[in-house]
Amino acid sequence: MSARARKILVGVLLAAYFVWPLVHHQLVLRYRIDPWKLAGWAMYTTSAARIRISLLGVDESGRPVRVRPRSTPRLQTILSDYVYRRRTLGLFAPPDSVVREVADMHPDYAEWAVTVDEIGLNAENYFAVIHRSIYRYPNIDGAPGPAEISYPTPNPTRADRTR
Amino acid sequence: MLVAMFAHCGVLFRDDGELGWYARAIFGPIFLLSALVGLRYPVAKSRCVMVTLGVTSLWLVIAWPNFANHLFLEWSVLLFLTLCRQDKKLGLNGLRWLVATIFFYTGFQKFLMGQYFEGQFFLVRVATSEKFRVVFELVLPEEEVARLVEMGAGFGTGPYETSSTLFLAMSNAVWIGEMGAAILLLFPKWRKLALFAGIALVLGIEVGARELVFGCVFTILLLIFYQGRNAIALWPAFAAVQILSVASRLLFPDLRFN
Repeated sequence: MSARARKILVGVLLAAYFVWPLVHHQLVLRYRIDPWKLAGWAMYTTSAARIRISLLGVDESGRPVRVRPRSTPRLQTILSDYVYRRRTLGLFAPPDSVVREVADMHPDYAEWAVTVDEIGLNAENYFAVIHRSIYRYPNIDGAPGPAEISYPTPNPTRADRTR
Repeated sequence: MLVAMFAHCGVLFRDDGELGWYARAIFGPIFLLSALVGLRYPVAKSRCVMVTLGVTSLWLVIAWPNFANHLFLEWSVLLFLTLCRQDKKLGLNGLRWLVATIFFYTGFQKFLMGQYFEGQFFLVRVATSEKFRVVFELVLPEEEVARLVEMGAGFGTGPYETSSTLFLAMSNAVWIGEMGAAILLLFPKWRKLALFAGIALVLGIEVGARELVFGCVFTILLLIFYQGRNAIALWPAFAAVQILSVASRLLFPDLRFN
């Protein structure tokens, strides 16, 4: 590699290192990725958020039925893997693996729903649900169809307010 | 960096998962060999850095997406050292800009997230972590520490606020100090002051966080802004601290150093 090419490459790399944290911050706010991860240098900036998951099915009569996350050891393992991935990747990690397992357990439900709550410090400095995503999967021939997603965020954080 | 990678990898030796196996079977032996050969034979050093970069890249891929930012920092430094192995001046300038950028953003991100203005971040840490509690209970009123411990960062608890002015000053000094020191490091006139402030900040943070491997790496990286004989003389000392931190982690896991 010529000296000039090396200089240009180092310059481009440095520019990328300068820009990435700004992109990362937007990904944290908009897509809920973990500020502590993915090279944004934002470790120790916020209390690590916790993820809480609720599972729901709708039976043939249209009645909502709660599915216990600890129903089976396999579901528990899938949930625990998902929570770990979700905490890092945020909205880039939809709960498809979880729903597939619930659908296998209850193939007769008309719909399966997963609510993912992110718990952290809200703008009033209380621990609360700071982001909520609800994924609804219709039953199409016994398997989950494409998810319909809604985000009824109940408690914005200080950073959300400055977005 | 060669010793630093072995020290960082040593943190995983006790890990029962996939990464622990990789650390014991692949990363650890290669890092150790690279460090020994690189330090013993200066002509082989740049090749050892390249090998270490390759293994660190593999580590990043295996750990994706949950790799620690510390690992990415180490990978970035190795990348710059490899790219600039034939141009030391470019390498030094590149690394200086890299370190200043990272240091600036560690403060800027704290400012953006807003959890240092009223000390919320550290108050939650006091509520949940013994490591931070022993430090901050020196400046927080006793009843506030008791209230925080009782809340324990549980759902619905709060507010995480304090009446201690000194605590608030310390909390805000962190992000202001990180951003300020990073900017001043780029000006030769202010470099010594910024270096002193930067290292003091890292040391202060390490008192609570106890991330010795990272603390040593970042202090060494800050020292590239001051290439006096004294700074170079400190490198073996940091290498020794890193190796000791791995040993302490393996022998006394309850100390919770990493």
